[in-house]
This record gives sequence, C-alpha cells and structure tokens, in this order.
Amino acid sequence: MPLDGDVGLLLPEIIVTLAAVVALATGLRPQAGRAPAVWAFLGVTAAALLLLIGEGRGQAVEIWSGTVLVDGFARLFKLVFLVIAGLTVLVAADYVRRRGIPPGEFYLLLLLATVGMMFMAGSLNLLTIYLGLECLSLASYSLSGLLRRDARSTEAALKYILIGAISSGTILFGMSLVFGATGSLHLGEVSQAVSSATGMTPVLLAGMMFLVVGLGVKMAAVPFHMWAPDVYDGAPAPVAAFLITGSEAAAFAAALRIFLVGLPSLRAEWTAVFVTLAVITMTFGNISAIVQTRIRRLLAYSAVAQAGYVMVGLAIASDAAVSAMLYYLIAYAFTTIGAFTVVILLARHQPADEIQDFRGLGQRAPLFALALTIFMLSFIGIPPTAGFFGKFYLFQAAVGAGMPWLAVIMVINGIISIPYYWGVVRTMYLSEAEDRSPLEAPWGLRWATVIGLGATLVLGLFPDALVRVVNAIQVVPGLPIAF
Amino acid sequence: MLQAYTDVLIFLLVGAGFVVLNMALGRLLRPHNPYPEKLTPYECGEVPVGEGQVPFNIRYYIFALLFVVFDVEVVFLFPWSVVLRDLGLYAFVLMVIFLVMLVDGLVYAWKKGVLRWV
Amino acid sequence: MDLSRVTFLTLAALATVSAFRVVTASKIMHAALWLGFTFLMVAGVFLTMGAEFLAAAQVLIYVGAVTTIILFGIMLSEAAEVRGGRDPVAPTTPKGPAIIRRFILPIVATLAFAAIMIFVYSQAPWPDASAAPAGDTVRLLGSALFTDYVVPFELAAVLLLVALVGAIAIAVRDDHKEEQG
Repeated sequence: MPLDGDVGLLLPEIIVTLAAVVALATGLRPQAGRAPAVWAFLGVTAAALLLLIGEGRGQAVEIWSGTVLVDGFARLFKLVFLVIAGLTVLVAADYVRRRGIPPGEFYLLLLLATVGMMFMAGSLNLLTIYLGLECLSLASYSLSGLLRRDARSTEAALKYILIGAISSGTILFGMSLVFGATGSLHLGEVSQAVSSATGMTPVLLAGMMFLVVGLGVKMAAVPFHMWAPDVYDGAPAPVAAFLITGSEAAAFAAALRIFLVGLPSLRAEWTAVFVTLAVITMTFGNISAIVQTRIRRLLAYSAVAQAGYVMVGLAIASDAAVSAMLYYLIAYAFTTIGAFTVVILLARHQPADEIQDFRGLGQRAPLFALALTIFMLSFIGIPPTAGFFGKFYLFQAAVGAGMPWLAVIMVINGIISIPYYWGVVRTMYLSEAEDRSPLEAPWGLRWATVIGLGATLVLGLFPDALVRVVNAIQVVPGLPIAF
Repeated sequence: MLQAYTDVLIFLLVGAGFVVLNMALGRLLRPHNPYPEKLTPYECGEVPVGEGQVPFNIRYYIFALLFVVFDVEVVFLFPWSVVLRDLGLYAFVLMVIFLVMLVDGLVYAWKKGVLRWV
Repeated sequence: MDLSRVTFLTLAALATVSAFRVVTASKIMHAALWLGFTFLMVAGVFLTMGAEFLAAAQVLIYVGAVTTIILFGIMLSEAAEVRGGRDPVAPTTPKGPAIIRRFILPIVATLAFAAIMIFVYSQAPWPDASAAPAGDTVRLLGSALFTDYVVPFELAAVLLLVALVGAIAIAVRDDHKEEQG
C-alpha cells in the first residue's frame, strides 16, 4: 500500500460523495420534500469549510503515489467548484420541485460532477484527471436531459453526449500519445522526460493538439463550440448555469496543469494555438450573440465569448496571466449564476425563453431587474463590477507579455458586446409588460441573487483581497518528483 | 509469448473449417427444390403473423445497462483476487468501498422499480 | 517477418477492414455486428502484444457487453428504419456536390490524418518492445491497481455509479411525478 495514502486530505471529496449518496437515498422516498437539497447543500458546505479551515493549508503535498496533489491551486479551484455547486443547489431547489425533476438523481449527479471537477484540478496524474473529467462529463450529459418531456432538453443531452464522447476520445488519444512518448502518466515526470528525450517532438506535438481539441470542446472554444448553445439553452436552467461556470472552469484548470506542468517545452506551440483559438472564440461568440432573440442562447454565446477571454490568460500563461484568469473565472462564475437566477425567477411565473419576455421587469421586480443590470454590466466589463477587473487584469497581462494587439482585440470585442447585453437591460426598463403582477421569489433564488450580486460588487469595489489570493497561486507546484 | 496461443489458433481454424466443410458437403449432397411455402420463416408450423423486427421493451435496456456496469466490476475483481493474498485486509477494504458504491446504484435501480418486470 | 508480426498485421488489417464496414454498412444492425467483430480483432491485437488481461477485458466488456447494449439500443428503437425492418434507409447514389461531401471529403480527410499519424509515428525513436514488463500481467496489474492507483480505482466506482444513475434517470419514465411546465 502507498505510504503516503493520506485520507484526511481527500476528506472534502469523500464528504461530497457521501452527501451525494445520501441525497439519492432521501430522494427515493415518495415524500422527499426538501431533504435531498438540504443534504446536498450541507455536504457541499461542510466540504468547503473543511477546505478553508482544514489541515495542511499553505503547503503542497502529493499523496497516493502521486495520483492526488493538494496545493494552493487545487484548494482554490475546489473551493470555487464547491461554491458553484452550493449556489446551484440554492437556485435549483425550487426549480427541481416545480419541474418534476427527480430530486435524488439530480443532486447525486450534480455533486458527483463536482467531485469529478475537484479531481481534475487536484491531480498531476493524467489518469486521475481523465477519470475526473469523465465523471463530470457523464453527469453533465444526464443532467442536461433530465427534463424528459422537453424536446429541447432531450436534444441538448443527445448533442452533448455525442460531441462530448468524441471529445473524451480525443483527450484520451492525446494522453496516450503523451504517455507513449514519455512513459509516464505523471505530468512532472512527463516534463522531465520531454526535456531529456530527443526525437519525440512530433509525437508530443500530435498529443498536444489532441489535448487542445478535446479540452477545447469542454471549454466551448470556437470551432468546437457547436454543442454549447443548444446545451446551455435546452438543459434545465440551473444545470446550464452550473455547466457554464463549473465545467468550463474545470476544463481550464486541467488545461493549465497539463500544459504548464507537463508540456512547458512546447510552450511556443501551444501559445500560438491558444492565441488563435482565443481570438476566434471571443469574436465569433460576441458576433453570434448580437442576433440572438432567446435569452439563454444569448447567455450561451456570451459564455463562448467569455471562454475566449479566459483563454487569453491560458495562451499567455505568465504568472500575471494565470492570476488574471483565476480572477476572471471566479468573478464570471458569480455573475453568470446571478444572471441565470433572474432568468429562473421569471420562468416561475411565465415563459421566459425570449428576451422580449423580460419586458417591464424593472416595474415588476425592481430589485431583480437592478441585479440583472449589474450582472450585464459585469459581463461587459464596466466598473465597479467584478467583470471590469477580470478584463483589466487580462489586458495588463497581455500588454505585459508583449502582446498589446491582443489587448486591442479584447477591447474591440468588449465594444461589440455592449449592444446585446444592453438590449436586455433596455427591454427590462423601457418596454411595458402585459402582466404587471409583482414577482415573488422563493428564498433560495433570493439568496443566490444576493450572493451573486454581493460578490460581483465586492470583487468590483475591493479587488485587492482576491488579487492577493490568486497571486499566491502557483500552477507548477514546487515539488521534488520523489519517485 | 505468442506460441502459447498457437493451440487456440489451431482450435479456431479447425472449428471454422468444420463448419465450412459440412456446409459445403451439405450443398453438394442435398436435393435442391425450393417453393414459396418452404421459404417462409419457421414459426412452429404456423403461418407467420406480423413483422419479425418489432421494437423491444425498454426494460431490456436497463438490464443490459446494469449488466455492463457489473461486467466492468468483474474485470476489476479479477486482478484483485490474484493479489488479495499478498495485500490482505487493505485490498479487501478497498474492494468493499468499490462494491458499496456500485451496490448503491443497484439498490437505487431496485427501489426505482426498474428491476420489476410488469 | 516472424510469426507474431504476421499475426499482428493480419489482425490489425481485419480490424481496419471491419471498422470500415461499420461506417459503410447500409443496415445499422450489420454496422453493429461489424463493430463487435472490430472489437474482437482489437482484442487479438492486444494478445499479440502480450497484454493478455487487456485482451480478456476487451472481450468481456466490449464484445460481450457494449456490442450487446448497442444491439439492444437498435432493437428498442421505435423507428422501423433503425431496426432494419422492411424499409431500410435506401442506399441512394449521390450526385453533384453530394459526391464531394459523402465520398471525396471523408476519404481525403482520412488519408490526410493517416499520413500525418504515420509520419509522426515513424519519426519517433520508440523504445524496444523488450522493455515492457513480461510475466504475470494480471498480478502486475493487480498490485499496481491496489498500491499506486487506488484513487483512480475508487474514482472509477464513482464514475460507474454516475453512469448507472444517470442512464436510469434519463431512460426510466417516472409515472407518478409529471412535469408541470
């Protein structure tokens, strides 16, 4: 048995898994009520608290023969995933009951998807990363199709499973090429083997390209984004919010580890690929979003565009760029979940698929309309919102890395994005609604909005605290490769 | 390495050859006299009703699914049983955890009523 | 060429040809059976490379279970065209631009991909085959699985649970709880 098999450091993952199983069990009772949601929320909260106050903070250790790594990077990402999962539970509690989604299955899949994401960020071993990714993917496919009487939901699940399966295969093929060329699944050993081995460059390049394509699908990078609008539009709304924020962040976490730790010697090559993808992705996403009339398709193309911005950080991959990326992902997660909360709130009362359905929301629910306005400002990147600093730090990183033209493209894209985000705000305030009855919000949605709004504003007004945290994060752990 | 499988290869070739040989012999020796009634599919002597290819009950799918999951589990059990004597209680506990996760799924399927054939 | 090389090339060629038949077969049932044959040939390839346990697992899971579930999926379909009844999808002869889309483009893409991968593989100084661990592969695999790869092993259990619950949640109709819009 491995001498370094420390169960204590895996406790957050174990707690979430147990909470998932308990949620499934309580959901099977005919009168389940709130129990599954409560168990899921308790599990996520306990795991998050354990990460915050638990043992081994501030150090980087590899346990279980190098299949699990616990360091600042892993901790931060796990915390982000748990917060996203917790907010999704808050948002979903009412939605799941109203739409007749089986609660036990919903929370089990949600929580086990979170466990998968936690392993994607918490390992340098390609096998663990792949299994985490598969856990996340399989759960996402099922979650997308849980509205079984909704044709859009079924279509979303089908498209996601077909494209997702191809992307998994692509990632696996890339990993097998990397393994074949270096003889190791551990990214630390991979980078050592790469620097000492000669002549393996073509194989590694092929492996790198397969990994870029496969992870690009998960990040919804253009041209691998074809599934994203349908899935984000058709899946149950809380699931869409969870996938846009969590699944995408997990893909970026895995990509950072794989490319920065495992393949630093191919840096010039993957930087070129990611810069190209980033520019295409943000431009295509923003231009496609302009013509959308359905609110969730608009948010979906906006998500594609935002993935393009985040990818700028991955392409530059300097310390400043990585910090900016982490900041952006965190800020964007709160903003996105907040925006989806308002969409879900309106959908409780009337169809809320089209942007036109938001007419007069400013009168019917002034606070939620104000919140959505602030979320839209954050998407555009206008101070004093979190989105502003996210984009600002990415500009800085691009200029600092000697790519000012990249910053210019980002600014142009920001300008392109103003009309469609602003269109939503205009519809809310300047058009009259037929139905003027005020909206009532269940407490889960209310709290999710408050948390999303609070985080968006706090990160926008006082960015320093989070900046200090993300600046301390290192993607490459300062570990000796011990075996 | 490969020599150990020469027997298997010979066995496969002899098996396939046996079939081909007998079919060929049958074709050479038998009388050839087809007529429409004789060519209808055999359904216990009755005239066949409806199509042969009807959609199957969706419940078969669940059973096949459970089978795949536990098939994968068996593949893990095999190397486990080989090293169990060396690794002892530790490996036993690991497999128990693994099995408990899967039994959760089975209990779920059972409680959900998909194992009942109604 | 020694015997093992001949065996390997024969099995690989059979696998490739049957994989080609999977995508060109006009009846989906035939495609599924060809796929099962491909899996079997791949198991044979594993065997020629000394990965006995992998070959056994391939037969057990892919040939035994995955092919079965694909056949079930076809038989469960409510569309007669899919089941391959009296009205299979008629193999039409494409004309004009469809020829490019359905024949030339796939062939060019496949050949280009094959050319790139063959170039990539031929460039690399692969280590000798003798470096691979010989002997009791099941024991080696078992000890690796239960010492070094414990976490991936347990994660695989979580993955199987997700697959089981997810598939049942999508496939099984819940009659007493209906959606209310």
